Amino acid sequence: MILSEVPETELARRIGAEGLILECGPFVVRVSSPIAAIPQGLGLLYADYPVLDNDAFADIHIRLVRHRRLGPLGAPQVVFDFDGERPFSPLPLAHAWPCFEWALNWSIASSANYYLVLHAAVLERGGQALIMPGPPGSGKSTLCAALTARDWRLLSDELTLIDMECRGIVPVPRPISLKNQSIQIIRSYIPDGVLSRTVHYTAKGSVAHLKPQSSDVRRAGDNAKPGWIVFPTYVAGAAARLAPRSRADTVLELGNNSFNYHIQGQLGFETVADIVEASRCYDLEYGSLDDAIAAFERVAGTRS
Amino acid sequence: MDGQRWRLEGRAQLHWRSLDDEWVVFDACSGDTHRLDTLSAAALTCLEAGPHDLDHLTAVLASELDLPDREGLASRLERLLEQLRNLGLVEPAIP
Repeated sequence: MILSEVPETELARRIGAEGLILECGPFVVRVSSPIAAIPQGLGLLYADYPVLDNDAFADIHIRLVRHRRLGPLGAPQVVFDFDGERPFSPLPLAHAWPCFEWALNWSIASSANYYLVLHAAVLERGGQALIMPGPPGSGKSTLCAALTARDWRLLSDELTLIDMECRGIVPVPRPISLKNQSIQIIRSYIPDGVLSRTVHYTAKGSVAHLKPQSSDVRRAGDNAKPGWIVFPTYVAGAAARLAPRSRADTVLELGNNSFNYHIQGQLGFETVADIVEASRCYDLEYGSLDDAIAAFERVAGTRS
Repeated sequence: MDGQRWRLEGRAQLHWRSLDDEWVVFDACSGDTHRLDTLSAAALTCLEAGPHDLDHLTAVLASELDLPDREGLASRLERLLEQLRNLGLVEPAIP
């Protein structure tokens, strides 16, 4: 059964009571919350995800509750409860949906140590993965969203999972987080894309999430092989410039962009080195989305 | 530095990977990963095999890497050894 087959009232009831168990890539996630934004967001953005029986074992438990204290100006607040711990500060109740997405990111990044976890978007074409690390402002999520509309399969806009046994790139397709100007850019670029309501004044500015394509969610079990690693940099007004980059430096940068490289020891090093060795590595400077997408088409023409 | 012998830092456990014309080395003791050029990698590999003083290291690397300017090489290696020491990869060998 997929989530869209669960009647709306049953969805809200389950999430408000024992929790709803979702399969999200390789993870089983139990979601529970009395806050209405959570079933609404799940219904909109996670409609294609498999729902499991309530006795299924969950790897990750996400519980969002109202904080007992009111926030500034008496506004109600939401807080993420992680096995009784509260790793985030309370947020305004209106931020409940992005809080859910951030909580799930945090839970995966901080506990999925079977994988090497990179802070990078990752897409696939022809069986090969395009890994795209990038600091905030590099535009990786915007590029990632646009590429999903151009025949690239979404594996993740935020977390690249690498199986350290087989060196496969493991999909965990989730809604793509868009911020500030990117929201309107993607609305124009993907007119039929489904976006959540924009939430303003979050720690990251205005935030909305783009629903992943149904086919990408259905293919969450299909790993990809390493293909390309591209470090994008947005420079206003710049023409697109794609330049090969040092593989040795790429090893260091992937380590720096990993959530758990520092705890993986030699296996983590060997994994990163193997992934880099099997990939073509580039820096991409770009000033417009169309130029960047054209550059990625050139990248896709250079198979490893 | 006269006669001073250098060796791999006592606890270092190095794992190497050659990528194109560069090297990356992971030190399993510190958890640090370093990017090295050919000269740095050759010097560190040499010290991994056993302690050497600057003169001997210069002679070995001049021959291995076919570098005729021994004086210039010795000066580069002197600076390099300090850099590798700052990275926790080599240390003066105690006689």
